[in-house]
Amino acid sequence: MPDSAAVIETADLTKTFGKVRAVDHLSLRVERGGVFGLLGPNGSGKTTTIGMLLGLVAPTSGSIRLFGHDHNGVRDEDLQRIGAIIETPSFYPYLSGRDNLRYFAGISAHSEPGEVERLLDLVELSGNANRKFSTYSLGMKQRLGVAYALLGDPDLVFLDEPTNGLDPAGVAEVRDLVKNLGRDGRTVILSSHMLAEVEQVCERVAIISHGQLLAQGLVAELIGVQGLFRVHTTDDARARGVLAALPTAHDITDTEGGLTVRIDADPSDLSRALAASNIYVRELTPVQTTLEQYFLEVTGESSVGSYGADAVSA
Amino acid sequence: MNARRWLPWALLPIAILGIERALRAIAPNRQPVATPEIPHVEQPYPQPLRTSDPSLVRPTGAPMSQPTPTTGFIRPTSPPPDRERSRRNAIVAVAQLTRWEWFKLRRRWMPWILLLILVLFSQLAIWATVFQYRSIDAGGQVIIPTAGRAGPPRTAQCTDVLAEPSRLPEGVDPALAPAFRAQCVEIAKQGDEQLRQIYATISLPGSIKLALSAGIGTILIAVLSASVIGVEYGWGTMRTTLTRGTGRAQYLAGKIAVLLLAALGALIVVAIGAASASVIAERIVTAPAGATAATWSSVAEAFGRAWFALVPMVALLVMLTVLTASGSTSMAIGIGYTIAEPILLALLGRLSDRFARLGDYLLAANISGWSSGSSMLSSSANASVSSMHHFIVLVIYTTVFTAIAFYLIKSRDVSKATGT
Repeated sequence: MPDSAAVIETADLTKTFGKVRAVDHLSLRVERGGVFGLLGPNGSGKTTTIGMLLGLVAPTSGSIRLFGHDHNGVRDEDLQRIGAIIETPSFYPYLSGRDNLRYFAGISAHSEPGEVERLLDLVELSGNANRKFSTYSLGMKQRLGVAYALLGDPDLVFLDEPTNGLDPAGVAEVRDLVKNLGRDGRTVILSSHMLAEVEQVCERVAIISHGQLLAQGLVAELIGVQGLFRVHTTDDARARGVLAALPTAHDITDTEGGLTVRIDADPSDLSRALAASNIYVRELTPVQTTLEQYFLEVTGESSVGSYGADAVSA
Repeated sequence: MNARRWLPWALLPIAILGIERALRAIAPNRQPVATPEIPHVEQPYPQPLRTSDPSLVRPTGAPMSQPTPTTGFIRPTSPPPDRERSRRNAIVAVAQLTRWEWFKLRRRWMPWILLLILVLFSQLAIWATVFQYRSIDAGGQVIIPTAGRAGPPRTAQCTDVLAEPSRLPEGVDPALAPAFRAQCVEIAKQGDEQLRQIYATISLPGSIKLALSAGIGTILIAVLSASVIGVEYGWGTMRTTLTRGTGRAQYLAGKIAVLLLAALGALIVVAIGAASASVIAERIVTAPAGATAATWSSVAEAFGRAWFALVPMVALLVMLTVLTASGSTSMAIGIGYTIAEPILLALLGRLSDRFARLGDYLLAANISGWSSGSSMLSSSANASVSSMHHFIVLVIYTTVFTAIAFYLIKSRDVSKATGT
């Protein structure tokens, strides 16, 4: 039975190009509504995954379920409910921004009269709508790409690096727009190398590396639940010894005002073990990390510099 | 007009119906599909507007006269997908795509430049014939032997030669006058019939047939076909278009349809230009005695022939462009083949008699043979086969090229930004 809560479900999705396995048994699940971050280093398979979800790339094996339907591949009816910009937006250079949108609205199944003007207003391109696309700056192209992705009032929107080329004010505007888009039942899949932006905008993320899914879940949980806790007890010195004897506790270090410890099990086990030794917990809090730190840790990347927008298809 | 000549036209609607059925078979995903939908979690249809900005939400029960916001993002309610699907069948989708392909095409410079070239060539064919007519009408001319003199050969107008006494150019031996007179009398005898034939091609409606047989149409349609599809790969707009859910087969069908319509439109423009040229030509030349005119039915046939001759060329270039994912490469291959085929046939024909009939089954030879049927002055390029043969061969080529193009576009990944 289709699961109505998921707009995207993939099972063992695999794509190989010759000997290169770009996507490797990827099982992804994106819940309906909200902003979902798709993260991964260059060449991790993000764009190929998006390509498969948009019916541009045929999977080598595995299945895709969009909007809860059971089917092989992606149907045109599904695509009519999807808006997408992938990498650099490609439009007709000899047409104006307005005519480009008119064309894509014209061939869309669900476009509404007046929608083009409304979207041009939304992305603040009305003043430049009659200029040829070839004369647009990168930021203007990105804005037009966002307007294009919203044509036809899609239920699912893919935004691949939507803030590329935008100035800080433009980035903030697009960030707010993306947040708003995810608030009214629509699902937005955001792929961006600006992890701080992703952290602010996305409720959930999936991290892909070498075509494989490394992590998936709520951002708050992922960056909080790495098992690292700050512990302050009635006797920290003795607590250190008790924790060292626990097989599920690792990496115990002294910090100002307590200890930090990584726990593989339920944190209540730690509390119980300490209490059994007559040591009582005054504070037990998960140590928050940033999404960037978490990303680097799970992908094994040495720095965020090696991570970025896919310049070429993975 | 005998039945054999009309048979190809009778078969044309059947061929078109066959192609349409094939398109439907290739693109079944426009048909209604009974699959479960995600239940709407919020409200059943119809539901109130959803918007990112709460201030833009029209309150339930609010009067419809309430001003509609001009900015902000509004999500109007959508009709049920099943109804939507049934409303948009494959033909409607292709028609819609064709309309919007035309929207793009007419905003480009290239088709207009190609049209200008086509019109210029057709006008050139007419006006060259008009000047040929005037030359013959002036009585013709004889070539005077150079007799060891340097420089180009001189000519003498027959009106001067036939005058009493003959007016020959300076330095020409008067003893040659009888020989020149005899030549001019012979030219005059043949000239009357030639004048009648030529006049039929420069007066209405024969001029339209002459203009349509100018012969450059196949090259120009090859350039246009390669460009219309090739730019989609080059600019990466194929990916942008396909993600709208237009359907790959419908997308290609829309492009083919607009190319065929553009070809039809170009031929109409050529015909109008030829008719205009005839109006002027008929004023500056004198009609020969016993002049006859072409029939409008033969012009209609020539028009149909000229248009159908372009169809396999469109199919070839569409296939090549999809195959190579490049407009320039496909253009080079397509036009190169068209030029190389007759040369190759001539070479092979000299090598062995076994290749004598090879041209009966090759593309360019059959396009040429089919097209030349419309020309009044030239006989078929390959008179050994009938129009029906040309028609069948061209239909087969068109079907094969189109089928390959549809197969390729349906089965290939569009993974890179350039659409390849």
